[in-house]
Amino acid sequence: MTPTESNPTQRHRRLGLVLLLLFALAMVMGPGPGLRLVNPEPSAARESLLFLGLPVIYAWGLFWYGVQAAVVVTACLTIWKPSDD
Amino acid sequence: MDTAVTTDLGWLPHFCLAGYLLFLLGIGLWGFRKRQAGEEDYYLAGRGQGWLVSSLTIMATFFSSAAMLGAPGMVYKEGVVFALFALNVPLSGAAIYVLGNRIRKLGHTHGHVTPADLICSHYGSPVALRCLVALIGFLYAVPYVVIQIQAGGLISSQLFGGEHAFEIGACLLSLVTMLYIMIGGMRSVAWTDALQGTLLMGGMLLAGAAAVAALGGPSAFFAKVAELPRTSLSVPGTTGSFTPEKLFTLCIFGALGSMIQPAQWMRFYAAKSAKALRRSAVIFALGLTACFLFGVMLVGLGGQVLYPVAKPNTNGAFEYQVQIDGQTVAVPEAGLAKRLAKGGKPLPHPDVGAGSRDFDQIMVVVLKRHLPELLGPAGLLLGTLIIIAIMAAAMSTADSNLHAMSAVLTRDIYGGILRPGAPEKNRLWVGRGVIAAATMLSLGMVFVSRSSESFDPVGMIMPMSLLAIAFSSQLLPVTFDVLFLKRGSRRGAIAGIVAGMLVVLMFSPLLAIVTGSDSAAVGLFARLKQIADIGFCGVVVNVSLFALLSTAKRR
Repeated sequence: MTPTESNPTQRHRRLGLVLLLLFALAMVMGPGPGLRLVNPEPSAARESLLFLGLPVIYAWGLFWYGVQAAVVVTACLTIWKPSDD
Repeated sequence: MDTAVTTDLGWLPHFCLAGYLLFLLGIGLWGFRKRQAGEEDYYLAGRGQGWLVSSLTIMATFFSSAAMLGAPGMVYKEGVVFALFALNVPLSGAAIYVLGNRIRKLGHTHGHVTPADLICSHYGSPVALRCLVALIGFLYAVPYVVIQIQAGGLISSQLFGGEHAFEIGACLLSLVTMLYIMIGGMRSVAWTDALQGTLLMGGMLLAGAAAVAALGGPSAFFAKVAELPRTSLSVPGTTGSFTPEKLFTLCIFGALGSMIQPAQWMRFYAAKSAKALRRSAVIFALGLTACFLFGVMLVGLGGQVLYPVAKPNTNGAFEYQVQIDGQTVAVPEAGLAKRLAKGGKPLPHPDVGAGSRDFDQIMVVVLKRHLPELLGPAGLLLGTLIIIAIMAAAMSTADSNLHAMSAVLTRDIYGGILRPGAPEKNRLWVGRGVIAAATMLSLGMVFVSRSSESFDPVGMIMPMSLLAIAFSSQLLPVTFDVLFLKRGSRRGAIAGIVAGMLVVLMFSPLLAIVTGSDSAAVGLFARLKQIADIGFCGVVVNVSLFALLSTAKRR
């Protein structure tokens, strides 16, 4: 192995960390304080409550669900497999 | 919107429900015939569950009437903000593998059956810690069983009407569930859960589709939703209870707390392999969240359109009906939070229910009144299927919790402390006695709560579920320590759990019973509850004490 190449365990550890951070981000942004970024102000126009015809916070939730789902599937196909038994 | 539709589902649900309950009893008998001698078989089905049964039984245990009635009830009450609570499900899914596989491995290696077996063997505390872990199991299971029985009564009263429909439904659900667990143990519970899990996933999605169809399809549905009051479409919701910070802590502790409660913990032990849990995790995270977001949550939103909780007044501003000191008054949207802070309770549309806890009935009301009219015989069949799915959700959680409570009290308290040398056969019979006693206790609590206007410890389904999860969350610090850190001390674990449980108890109806509902303490904890999840508050105190005492011991 050349010095620049990392072994599979290190790669998995790094990927695991990235996935963990991404999942944590999805939790903070989706149902967490990140919601404040899209929550309309009380005085804002009624149109600001919607995004593509959906309530904006529902659409926001769907997006972060997509991120969570992608993280879980990636973890299942990569880092969870080798440590099975 | 005309809500005077009175179509009902006729006799079909009666026959289907009767057939369904008989079928469940049949599975109980099948489990009994397949049984092998011993506790390991009765409580863990011989540790041989494959991925399909594992995933379905974990899902069915997780999704209770709180999912089928409570969640749409909360969206109906609070608006779209509560739909985001569904984002706790992927975290639960990940926990199935990340925590569950470690628990499974240790359980297989050391022959553990209950959570206390693992935790106490790690800390070497045969009595104190065992009692505490068993107490948490009990405090989680009882409220959870109570709300499932309440859900059975709600469905019955909505479907069949009549003076005693609630009581008959609650008794029927309790007795059938009690019988098949007592007869067949974990094998029967897991197989009935597999059937019920399939039914409830299908039911959740069908219910969402039905709500969308009732309003004329997706475009018309969301166009009508867009006209709802501003509080229904934004954070923190109608009553102002769901700030992003509170929702965040609810999602974290709701997800993890419900995954380490005794019934789920025992399902991790019962899984045959890591592969079974890995697949369960993915099915759970992806499938169940979709059932929430595209299923039952839409029923709550559709319910707000069909049965408005707020109506525009002559100035165009929305007004809510609020119960204050027994009187119903109309409160404008702008002043709602203030009135609710002074003890007012919002009321649902009169066609949904007359009391502040009747928001939970929105699912059954929508199904009963709109499906047959919209879809004819197909609607009748669809409505019946979804109602059976609601029953399935309630029964699958009740059975898992009763079964786990039996294991916890029998193995940890009776066999572990009171009579350590008791023969296995004797312990199994005590376990069956615990199931019967716990069922009767829960049924009694539902009836007491129902019959009293002033004393209502049960209330709406979702808050009661969250209180139960808050208790089980107090096991999180020790679980993480046992599985990952391994740095805690026995004294720290005991002190942390006791302190965490005391904090959660302060948020329970017990405080109001002891100090009076208008005491300063009740007011203080009610304000704290507005800021963060109850389980989170308990865990903060729990972890602080655990870390402090463990560090002191090491030094």
